[in-house]
Amino acid sequence: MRQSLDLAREVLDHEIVDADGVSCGMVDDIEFDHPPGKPPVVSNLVVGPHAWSARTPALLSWLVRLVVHAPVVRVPWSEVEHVTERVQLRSTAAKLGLGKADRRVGKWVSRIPGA
Amino acid sequence: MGRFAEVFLGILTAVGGFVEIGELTFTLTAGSIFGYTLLWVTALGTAGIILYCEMAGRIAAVKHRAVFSLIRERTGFTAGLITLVAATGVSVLTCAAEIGGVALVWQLLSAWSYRWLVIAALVFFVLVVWWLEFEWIERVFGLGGLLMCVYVATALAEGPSWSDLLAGLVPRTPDVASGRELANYWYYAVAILSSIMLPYETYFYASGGIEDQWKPKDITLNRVIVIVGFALGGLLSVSLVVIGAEFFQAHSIQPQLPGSAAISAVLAFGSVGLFAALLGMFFAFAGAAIETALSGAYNIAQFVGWPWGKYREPRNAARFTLTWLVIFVACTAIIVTGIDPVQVVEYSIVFSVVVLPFTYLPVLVVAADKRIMGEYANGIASNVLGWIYLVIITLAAIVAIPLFVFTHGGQA
Amino acid sequence: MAERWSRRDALHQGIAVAAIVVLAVAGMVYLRERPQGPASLKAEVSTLRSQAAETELVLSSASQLDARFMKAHAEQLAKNIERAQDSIGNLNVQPALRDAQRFARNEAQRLHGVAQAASQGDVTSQRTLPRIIAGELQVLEHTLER
Repeated sequence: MRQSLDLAREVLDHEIVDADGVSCGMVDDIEFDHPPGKPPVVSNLVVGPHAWSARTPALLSWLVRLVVHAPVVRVPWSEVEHVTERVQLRSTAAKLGLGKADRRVGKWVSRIPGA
Repeated sequence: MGRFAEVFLGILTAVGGFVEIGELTFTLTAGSIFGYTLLWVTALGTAGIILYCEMAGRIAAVKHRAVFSLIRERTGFTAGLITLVAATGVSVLTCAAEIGGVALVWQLLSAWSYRWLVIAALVFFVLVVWWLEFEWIERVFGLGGLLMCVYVATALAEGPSWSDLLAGLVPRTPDVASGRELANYWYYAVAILSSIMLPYETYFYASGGIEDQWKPKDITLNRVIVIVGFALGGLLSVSLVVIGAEFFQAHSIQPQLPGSAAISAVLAFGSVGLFAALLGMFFAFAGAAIETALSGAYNIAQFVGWPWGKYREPRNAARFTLTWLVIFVACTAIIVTGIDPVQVVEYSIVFSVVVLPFTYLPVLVVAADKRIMGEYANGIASNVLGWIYLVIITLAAIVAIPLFVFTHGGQA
Repeated sequence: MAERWSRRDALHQGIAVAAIVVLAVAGMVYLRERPQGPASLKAEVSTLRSQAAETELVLSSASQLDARFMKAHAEQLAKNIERAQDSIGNLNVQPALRDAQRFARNEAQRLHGVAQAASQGDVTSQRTLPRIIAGELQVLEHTLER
């Protein structure tokens, strides 16, 4: 990976793509570790409504928490292969717990002829 | 397919898909009330949509990014979410109006019950979008929409006043008696600009570029299609103004129905004119319904990061598929209540212009950014024109709703 | 993930949003209930006049139009006239305009009858009526402009 990365401009709110090239969410938040006496280090990318809602006004955030109960998915930074226009992961979405809702809806959709 | 054939088809598709029910009724009515004096807005809008679709298409070809993921990245999450809600609302209203327009056209062909035709239209759209591949959807409705060229022929048959037409291309305020008439003029100016530059067109065009797997080598293809195709489509808009000015103004009619537009073609060309007009309007409105429903689904999927695209099997882009299905059903539910589709599209056009600056700003900023686009970034002309247009549409966005209220929807 | 919002913030924002919604609704209700002036009535009358002109065009060119198309278009036109009639009737106008409103509504009713007849294929029995109605509505429009 490159020497430096602008997390706010190049990672946050960018599309995440898994090892198969399938879109599996957006970077909704970024988590850091704070080792004592050292600068903060990126630990996880956080994906899910509870992650992006925390960045919105309080009322919207509260509503999202009321309606949506799915927990966020944390993608360890070590899973990131490289960052270009998209954040490319090393593993598949299923392995990391991403895109569950799409697979669930997909099972239902695949019952329709022609799916 | 050969390169030339691809360009040719792309141009024809762009022409056939240029006009939808809102633009049809607004330009005819504007011609009827104001003669040729609003023609300059048609030219302005056409140049604007060429400029921004070219940029969005270029971004899609180089970066494989479509508009709404750019919006989220550039304007931040909350502002992007507000734009998404507004853009989706506007797409739903437009889609509902187009579904109503299709049912109206089918009623003119069959004389069957309007409400049942609305339901039939829903079934038709779901089956078409489910089964047809993206390029076939583009081709069928784009090429079928070319029948709208009967209105170009009708305009020529009306014998336009060429001196008035050329004079109409020069922007100016009209010679009118009252403040209300002036407000009416500017209301129609804003509405025509909005109806030509409806945001769904840019969303769909860019997403379509990704569906068609464009690469940097397709940039020239993108440019030719957009410039030639939309310019020819703009000629169709000009023809509608001419028909408004020469035919409807003489009869003191402000057309509010597709059948009204068709009458002008019938009186010029008989049954051939009638069927060309009705079938042309069917393909144009149907194409617009499909584009708006798909762009609503594209926008949501791109904003939240779902897999999307007609190039994927429906089960592999499940929530995207569900979204466009839900949009069609919701739009049908709106229109089957019997609400006037032309009234619906008027609201959509007025609110669209408010969404436009939020749509175009991220496109312009990304297309101009050399760090992102490298050698494919905007040249000086695109940058200058892009910023000029952004100022124009921002002004239009500010005055749109006040003008709508003050002129009682252009009836003052 | 740190909590960047508090329930109190959400409550305050909720109150602000509710206040804005209430004000907006109250504003719309007030504008609707307030007696409308000549401009509002004129806008509806203009629409009706255009519909009268179009009905006249349909009747006068009926022989050149495909019968099925003509009947279907007349039916759609009749529906639009009915909407215009309802719009005029539902307007809350100033007392001085009530006669004009009643007149316009009656004209709409007459015009609707003509369009409805045309949608059944009858294009001759009331052929001149739309032009008369259009003329009367134009006079009314000019009166309302002043």
